Amino acid sequence: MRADPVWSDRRKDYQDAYLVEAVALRRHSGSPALVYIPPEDPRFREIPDDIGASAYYLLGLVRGYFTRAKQNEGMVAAVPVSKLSDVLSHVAGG
Amino acid sequence: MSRLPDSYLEYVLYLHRSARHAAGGGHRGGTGFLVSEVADDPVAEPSLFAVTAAHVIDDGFSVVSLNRRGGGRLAIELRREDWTRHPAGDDVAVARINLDPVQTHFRAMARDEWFLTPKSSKPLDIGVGDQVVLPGRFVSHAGRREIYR
Repeated sequence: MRADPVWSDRRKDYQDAYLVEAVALRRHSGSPALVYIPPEDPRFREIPDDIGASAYYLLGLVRGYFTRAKQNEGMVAAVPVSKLSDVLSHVAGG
Repeated sequence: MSRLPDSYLEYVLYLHRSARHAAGGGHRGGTGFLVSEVADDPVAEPSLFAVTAAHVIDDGFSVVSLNRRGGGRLAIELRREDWTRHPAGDDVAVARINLDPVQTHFRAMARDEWFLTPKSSKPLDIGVGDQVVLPGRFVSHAGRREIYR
């Protein structure tokens, strides 16, 4: 779910993110977040022909997870793939 | 959710503090993955990039490791300054990387095939109930010959 910006303790700022209900650990930072759109889902037909070689698509990458009282809350913040595109365009000159 | 093809694990890589830590399968570090970008020149090979969260690099884990063909780990000694961060400070970093397919088996997510763009994601309306998988580093059992993801 992409909703309000998510607070980053490290950056001391709010940042754009997807919220994903999942258990992640510290070493999972940077993992790809792949969203599954099964072929039988009516939305599958809405995917433009120029993308998609499978039913999985890159939604973003894991930034971190939420804790409360030192307990993992099972909720992950993922940096949207559009942010990765920004950096790639800069690096690749695209 | 359907079973992921085993080949999907070959998109994933790991970040370590040093090549020595990568060889030892150290428990600290982070996860990343490979993406590719088609060159403007149709004859040229696609460019290959490693991707991770910027805070992983900021914490000193800039060395990439992948499974080496035939067993063991292949460390790519990227330096902190090899990684480019998002200009607005979003938590993503990218580094150009060269990999020898003879040395390691890897796959890269092609930008034009894998990335959900604003154009493609709008009609999909990704939201509550959609299923997401996070292939990541299995820190409690790093394995001896290969890194389990």
